[in-house]
Amino acid sequence: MSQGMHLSNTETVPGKLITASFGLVQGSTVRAKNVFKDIGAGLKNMVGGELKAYTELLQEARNEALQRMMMDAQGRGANAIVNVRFATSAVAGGAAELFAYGTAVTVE
Amino acid sequence: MAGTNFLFCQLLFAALPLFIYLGSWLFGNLHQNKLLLKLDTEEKALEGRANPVTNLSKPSQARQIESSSLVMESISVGPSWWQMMTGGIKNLFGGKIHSYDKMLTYGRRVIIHRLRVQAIQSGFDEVINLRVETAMISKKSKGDDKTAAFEFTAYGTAIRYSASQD
Repeated sequence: MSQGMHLSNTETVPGKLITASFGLVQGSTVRAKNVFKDIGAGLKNMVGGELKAYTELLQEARNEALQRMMMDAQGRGANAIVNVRFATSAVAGGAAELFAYGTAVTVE
Repeated sequence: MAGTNFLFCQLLFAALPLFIYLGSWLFGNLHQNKLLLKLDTEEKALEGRANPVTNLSKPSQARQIESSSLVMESISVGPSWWQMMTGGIKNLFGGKIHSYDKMLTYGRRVIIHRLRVQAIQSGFDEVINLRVETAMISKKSKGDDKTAAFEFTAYGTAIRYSASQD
C-alpha cells in the first residue's frame, strides 16, 4: 500500500474534510494462473470447497489493481480515494480482469 | 477364464465415471461438511460480541474518528463435480437448485466472518458500507472444462473511534 493514501468506499473519508477533487482514478490488471495450478484447481473441484489457487490469484490481482489506482491518484497530487469500487470479469478461460476505481480527492 | 477377466475389465472401465461421481459425492460431502462445521465453531467463538460489520453508509456513532481504512476479504469456492452434475440435471427442469446453495452460502458467510475477525484483530470499532460482490471465474468459452468457481469479495471502510469520549 502507498504510504499516507487514505482509501474508503464511502462518500467521504470518515472524520476528515474533503478539500479538492481530482476526478475518477482507476487501475486494472489481467492475471492468469499457470496451467498446472489450473489442473490442480480442477481436481480440487472434485470435492468442492475453497479453491486456494484462485483465491490467491485474485487477491494478488486485486492488490495490484489497487496499487495502480493509487499511483494514478498520487500522480494527480491527491492524498485519498473515496468511493472505491471493485469489478471482476473473466476475459478468457482461466484469466480474470480485476478493476478498481474511485474518486481521487485531497483531505485535510 | 481370460474371457471373463476381459469382460470384468470392460465393466470396470464403463463404471469408472460412476465411481468418480460417487467419490465426488462422498468426499465432497465430507469435505464440505467439515468446512461448514469449522465455520460454525469459529462463529460460535464470537457469539455474544458485538458485530461491527454493517452496510450503513455513515458511521453509526457521532464520535470523533481517529482513523479509517479500506478492508477487504475474498475467497473463491467451487461446487463439487457431483453438485455440478446434479445442478445440470436439475437445470433441465428448472426450479430450485439446492446443490449450488451449499458452497455459495458458505463463501459469503466465510468472507463476512473473516472481515469481522480482521476488524476485531486490527482494533477497529466498526466496518461500514459493506459490499459483497460475486464473480464467476474460469468458465471457459469452449471445451469441457470441469472447473467452475465463484469468487466473493467483501469490502468496506473500517473505522477506529478516538479513545476520548466527546
